[in-house]
Amino acid sequence: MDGNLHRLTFSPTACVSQEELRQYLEGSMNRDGIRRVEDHLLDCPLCSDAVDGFETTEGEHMTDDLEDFESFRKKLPSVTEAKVRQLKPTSYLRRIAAVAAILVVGAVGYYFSFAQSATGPQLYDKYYTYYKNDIPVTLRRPGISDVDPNFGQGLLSYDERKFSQANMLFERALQAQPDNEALKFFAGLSYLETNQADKAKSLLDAVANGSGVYAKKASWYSIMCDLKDNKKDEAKAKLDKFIEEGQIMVVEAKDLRAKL
Amino acid sequence: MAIRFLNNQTATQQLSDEELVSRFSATQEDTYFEELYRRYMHLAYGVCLKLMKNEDESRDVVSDVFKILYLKLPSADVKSFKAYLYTVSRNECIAKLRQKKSDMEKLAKYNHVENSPTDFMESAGFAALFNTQPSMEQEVEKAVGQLGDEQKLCIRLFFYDDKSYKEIATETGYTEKQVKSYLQNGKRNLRILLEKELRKHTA
Repeated sequence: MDGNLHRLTFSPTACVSQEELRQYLEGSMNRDGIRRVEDHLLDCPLCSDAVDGFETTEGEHMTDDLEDFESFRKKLPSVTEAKVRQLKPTSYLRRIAAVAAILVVGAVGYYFSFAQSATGPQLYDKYYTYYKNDIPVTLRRPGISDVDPNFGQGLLSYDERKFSQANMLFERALQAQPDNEALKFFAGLSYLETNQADKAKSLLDAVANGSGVYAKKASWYSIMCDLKDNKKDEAKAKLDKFIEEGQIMVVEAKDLRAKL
Repeated sequence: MAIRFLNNQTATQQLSDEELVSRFSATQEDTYFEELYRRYMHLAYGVCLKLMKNEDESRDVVSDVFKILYLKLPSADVKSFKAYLYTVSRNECIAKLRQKKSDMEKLAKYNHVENSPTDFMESAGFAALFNTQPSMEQEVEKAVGQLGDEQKLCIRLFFYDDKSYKEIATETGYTEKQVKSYLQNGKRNLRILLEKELRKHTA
């Protein structure tokens, strides 16, 4: 033992996602993922009991058969009717105005979608959103955890949207920790923000081909790289696989695929 | 229109639980509740599975849980959505078990079984205090020394040696469930001890 409880943290961490839960129960999760989940379970009774529950039933029907929101929503007709009855006149007029505005925007969008098909960069502009850093604060602090200090500093720069600075720091961190999935993911995002799609894609594809918690998200952003470079065929192929695998952002992916 | 909707969906995913609750309460827009549903449905189901020990019944209960949340959230003053969800889930399960005479055994087991922690150790205040102290190593070591033997051993193996529950179980001979329990209680006790210590420093 090295006499340093450097991984002890009391900061709250995100609950276990459905995908993480599946991987953890199946035993297919990588070491970092297991660490994150097990650390979180110590502080979160909700997740801890949930894992116990699935382990008790041997996780046979993990979460595959869970009711989707649409089906759940249909069970609340009385609430929906009440909401309609309770609509105030000002809200009603606001809704009419919103619908009218949407119809106008929709008509314009419909016209332009036939007038010319969108280029990759145009689709990138529409579908790309900045990914908010989800690594707990304590794990970012250089010197506190075993996170490479350049990675920690790089994340701070990423948070402040100082992407060129983040790139430089991430590059240094990658020399020390070339296999760190989270590092590769955020470095990829940072390169994408600074229009270095090739570099971004190389890192994001490496993460996407793994089985860590960022794999699926990395797949999405790798598709964004292809759009930025106007490589629509490559984007299409990846999207088909992304949609088939499901899990996250399926609606957006299908919509984007239709545009390609 | 679809693009704006989809961009809004992605933006919704970036909102915190508190923001989603607040916006749902203010607007009653399903989008916000749906995101909460997506984030926590599988966890609430797992909690129900633990108590009900039956998949079909758990599905029914978890559906009831979210109906309750849907109706009550706008008027409830919810500080922590997941703590609220957890409480509602457990209460619904207990109520269902009580209804069924044949399940009194399960209920009895539940009442006697574990003294498992039910607190969400999420005090941002303590975490901030802990993180901003220049060096907590000595205090942490002292606190670890005050733990019971099993908790101390598991804490060291997990936080020093970076071992998983499974690896600790293999090494110590405890079950994984015991390892988790020792770690949960050990960490809780550490927090209590360190909190006392930190308050002395910052007083």
